[in-house]
Amino acid sequence: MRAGARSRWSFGPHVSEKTGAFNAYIRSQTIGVSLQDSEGPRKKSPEELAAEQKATSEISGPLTEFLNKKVTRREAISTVGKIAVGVVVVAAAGAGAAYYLTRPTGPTVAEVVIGCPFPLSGGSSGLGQDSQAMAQIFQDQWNANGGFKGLGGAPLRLIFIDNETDPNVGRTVADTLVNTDKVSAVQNGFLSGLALTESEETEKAGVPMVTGSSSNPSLTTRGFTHFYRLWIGDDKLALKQFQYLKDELLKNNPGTTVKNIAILNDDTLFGTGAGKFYAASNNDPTYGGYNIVSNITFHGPATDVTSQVLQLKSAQPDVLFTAMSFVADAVLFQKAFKQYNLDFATMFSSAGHLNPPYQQLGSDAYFPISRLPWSPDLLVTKPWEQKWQGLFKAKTGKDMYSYPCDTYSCLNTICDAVNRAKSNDPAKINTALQSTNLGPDDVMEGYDGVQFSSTGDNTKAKTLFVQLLSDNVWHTVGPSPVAAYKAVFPQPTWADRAAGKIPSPVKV
Amino acid sequence: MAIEPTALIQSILAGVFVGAIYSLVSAGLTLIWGTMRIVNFAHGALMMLGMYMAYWTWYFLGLDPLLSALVIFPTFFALGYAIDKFLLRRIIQASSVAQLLITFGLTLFIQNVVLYFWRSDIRLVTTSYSSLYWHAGGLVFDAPHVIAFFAAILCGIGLHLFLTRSSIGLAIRATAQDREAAQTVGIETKRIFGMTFGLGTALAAVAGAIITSYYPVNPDSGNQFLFLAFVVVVLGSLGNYLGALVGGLIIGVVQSTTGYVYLAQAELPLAFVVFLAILIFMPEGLFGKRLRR
Repeated sequence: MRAGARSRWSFGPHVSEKTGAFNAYIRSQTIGVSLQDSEGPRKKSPEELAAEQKATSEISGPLTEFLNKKVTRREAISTVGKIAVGVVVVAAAGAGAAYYLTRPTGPTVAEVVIGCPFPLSGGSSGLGQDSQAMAQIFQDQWNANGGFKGLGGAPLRLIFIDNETDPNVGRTVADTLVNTDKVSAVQNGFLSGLALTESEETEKAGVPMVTGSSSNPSLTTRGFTHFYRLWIGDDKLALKQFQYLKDELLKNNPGTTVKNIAILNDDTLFGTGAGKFYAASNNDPTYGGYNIVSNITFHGPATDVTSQVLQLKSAQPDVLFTAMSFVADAVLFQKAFKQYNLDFATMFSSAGHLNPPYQQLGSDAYFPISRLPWSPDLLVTKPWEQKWQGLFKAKTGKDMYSYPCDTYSCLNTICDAVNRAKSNDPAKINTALQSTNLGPDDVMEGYDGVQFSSTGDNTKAKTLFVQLLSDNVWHTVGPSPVAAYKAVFPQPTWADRAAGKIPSPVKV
Repeated sequence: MAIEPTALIQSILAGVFVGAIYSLVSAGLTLIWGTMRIVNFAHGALMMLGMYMAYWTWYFLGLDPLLSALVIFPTFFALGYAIDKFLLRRIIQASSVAQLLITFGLTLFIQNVVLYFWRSDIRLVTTSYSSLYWHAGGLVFDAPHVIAFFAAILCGIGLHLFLTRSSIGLAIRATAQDREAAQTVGIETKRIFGMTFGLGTALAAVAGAIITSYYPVNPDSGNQFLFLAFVVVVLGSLGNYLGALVGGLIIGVVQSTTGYVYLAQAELPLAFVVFLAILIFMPEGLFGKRLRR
């Protein structure tokens, strides 16, 4: 642009109008007179007027001079340019500040700590150690996949503590976890007696506990608000077993009749509870009505079981309902059944029989029927579990079985809640647990998923009936819609077994 | 339920069979108490260790548990001697609380070492006679229990002969009778303590070994027997090995017949009722000297 060509812009008339209002405002602020004074204009004293005039002249002078100043186009463009640059700089700084304040800042929580009081010694330590192995695998996998997404990738840390398969020790270790280690949640194992005492401590501390197969019904009828169970209570399970006996086993095998039954349970919370519910289910007008010819509670783990087996031998039940917590007892009883030629059409079992070492008995171990949330047949219907089966086998040398699967599902349920809670605060996790809604592939078991009722029971839980068939694998034999194999019923007698008459597994 | 005579006899026999094992475990326990005045809480853990050694020798060498007992006895004698020399000798004059704590600590140590190396899975030994049964007069005799019973009886007889016929056995009994007097007549009591603890340990381990043919092995196995062994020891008079042998049989039979005749859940309570009744009327136990006021 040429120097002589610059034109002048005048803001004159506008400026003067604005200056008047502007100056009035400035004056009002300067001398303390409010424009919205509700008392209206007041007559000012001569001193006040003099002071006002002086102030006005001091302020309006330079401002008026500045605003009335005529600027060249170049100056105007320059000024506008400076303002634009200023705006850009301010905007950039604002955006930077906004970004700084809202940027992802990494984990706001350093880690999420979950307590695992497992029976690492004592009568159920085998199950506890396998559950621990699965929990460690879960922790590694979870952290390798980026940790808690809801907490900026904070890692999961599990604290394992041995409850010695002793409910009293369980109470102490639960107290340590919630009050000393300050865990965000607790994953209990599978024994009802342990869940009972441990959950009293977690409930008091307001820390949520999620348990897998602790099936004693009393656990979810205590009014606790921080206790959740994935599996079904023994009261319902017992009735389902009677239902399965009548609707499937007897119906499909009309040549076999069952009149007399016996109940055999140990003296743990699980054992006595399950025994009681077997007896109660026999009162059911539709599925019960058998003669209970023997009802035995023994002290487990036992050193000798001869007297109990002799009682059963005298009673001659057609079907035996058992509830043994310890695998050592399951082994002793099965050996004694063989020794005294004690035959049943079938034996319903649980817990102790499902512990893999029971299968070391080989062909003597075959054919008890049990109710389980998981069976190896699910590896076919849920192929993603095969990865976990491989990891578990590599770590323990064993095939995956029901209890480690429970551990996976419990931890996944808790971690899902932590992610949704976006916090490691137990209270927030508890609130998130209450609104859990997981699908079938979020758990390893044959459940439809996980959703908790107001009592903490999983409304999507289902049971499978499994039988240890002659390939020494627990196969799904019921209920019929999900059965993979045909149930062996009645089971072969000991004489038949000795003669080699052991039926092979038959797929449905 | 009608009581069948055959079944009753069978339950008594079962009681005798398991009672013999209680006796053998208790004999070692009472020997240690009688001589050293130490209540050995590690006895069950040492028994369990014997079970594991029997299992592993069977697993790797195919050795029958009864034969492995011949190796286990000297091995555990040496182990017991070493435990006394390096651990117990330091607290032999200490308070009984300190002694209890150290044997309890030893239990925890042994159990956790076993858990660390072999995990807690139960393990079963299968021998050629594991599924061998004899039927006679309506009674069933299973080979593992019968063989374990006779092995326990043999051990009991051997223990009796050793303590009554050998010079070391006499020295052990003399020390048990009066420690100061034994020292006065030249018995080296420290060495006797070591041999006593070694002998007690070996008996527990052998008892463990001979039941592995029918009883599952796991780190908790010994505890099931230890609890009853304490009852047997007190019942048969503290320090009296013959009392322990008889007391074991009594507890075994009471436990087994109660389970058959009355209620399985009454087995242990009734065993304790008998235990308390004997202590009330014979406070010194079945074979103790009469207490004098």
